Amino acid sequence: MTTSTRSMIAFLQEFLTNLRFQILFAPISENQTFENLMVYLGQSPTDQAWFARVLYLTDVQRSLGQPVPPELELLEVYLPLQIQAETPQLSALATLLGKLNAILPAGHFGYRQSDGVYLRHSFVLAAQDEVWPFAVSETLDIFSLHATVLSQVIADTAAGALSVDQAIRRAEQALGTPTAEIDWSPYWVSEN
Amino acid sequence: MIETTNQPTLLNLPPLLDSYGLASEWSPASAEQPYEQLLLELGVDANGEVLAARVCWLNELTGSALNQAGQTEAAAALTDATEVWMLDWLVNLERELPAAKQPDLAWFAITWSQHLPFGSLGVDGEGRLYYRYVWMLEEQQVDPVEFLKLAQMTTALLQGALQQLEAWAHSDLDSSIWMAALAEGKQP
Repeated sequence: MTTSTRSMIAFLQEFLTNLRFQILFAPISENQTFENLMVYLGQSPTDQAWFARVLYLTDVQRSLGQPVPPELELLEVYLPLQIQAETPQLSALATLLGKLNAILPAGHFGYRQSDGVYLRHSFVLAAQDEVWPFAVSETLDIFSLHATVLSQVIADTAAGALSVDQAIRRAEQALGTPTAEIDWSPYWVSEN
Repeated sequence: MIETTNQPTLLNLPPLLDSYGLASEWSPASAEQPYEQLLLELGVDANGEVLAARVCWLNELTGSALNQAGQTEAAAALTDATEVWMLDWLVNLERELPAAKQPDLAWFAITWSQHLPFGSLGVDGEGRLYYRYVWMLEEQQVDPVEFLKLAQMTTALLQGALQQLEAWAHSDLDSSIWMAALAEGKQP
């Protein structure tokens, strides 16, 4: 952990608390060699608390002895949604998440065996730069919104209760906007 | 319409990118395309295929889409709400794959994304692989040197991801087994 990342986590804690986010601060301890924040973002439809984790991924990599480019810091916001899928539904779930990820304003949905469906965004920072705190609070707001309006659709798809097409229509209704297809037409490939 | 600087903000990038061997083409906002855009060749993959990126302001893209859909109030609300400027990087990774692997591609993309330091892979409604990252900025302007660094890091991570894709595509393993092996620190 660098001095700058440590002070930045403390600064973010203060900044986000002033914006009325409820935060748990996890300091360095015997069991943890990096600091992180746990930010409360509401309750899931099954009444589980959603906590987003904010930490420097590069601190974790350093603590594990992994190489980190000296000029780079990665600040990660990670929200596990605890939505698991059985094997037959994995393909439909991945198709839905891929379509949603093409249009989300910040962050993306992913899937990990341990956490199920999650939301994640990483800020890429030059080592001498501080993260802009409004971007972090904006990301947390966006995650809270997407968890609230999309988690049920995703959970229903993961359970096999909705097809991908049905889920997309529900997502469009929930977001109030069409999930426009990516327009590849302007793609330009050099002749060289 | 969403209010922007009305000044080109990506126009100054091509000369610097060109000096580092990255071809790019900037286009201004127009009636047909109401947002400025930079098309950029990040590099090539192991098969010599170009990694083509489209970079534009998501705020402008969304505002334009809302206006086109007749949702002018929503577009105006977006303008009022804009506190963060989002530069949207979208990379076309459409590749020829063995037919047996195509149905599994979306799962490969979603689960491989956990290994990326930033951004994500996905498959769109037409079955095409893409990479996307949204770079959040305080103002609607870009530091060319930071942009170049991000482009170089993106190229490196996509070249690594495509190597994995190529190896998996020509294996007889489904993506779940492939990813499970990687999670245990083994290269399948």
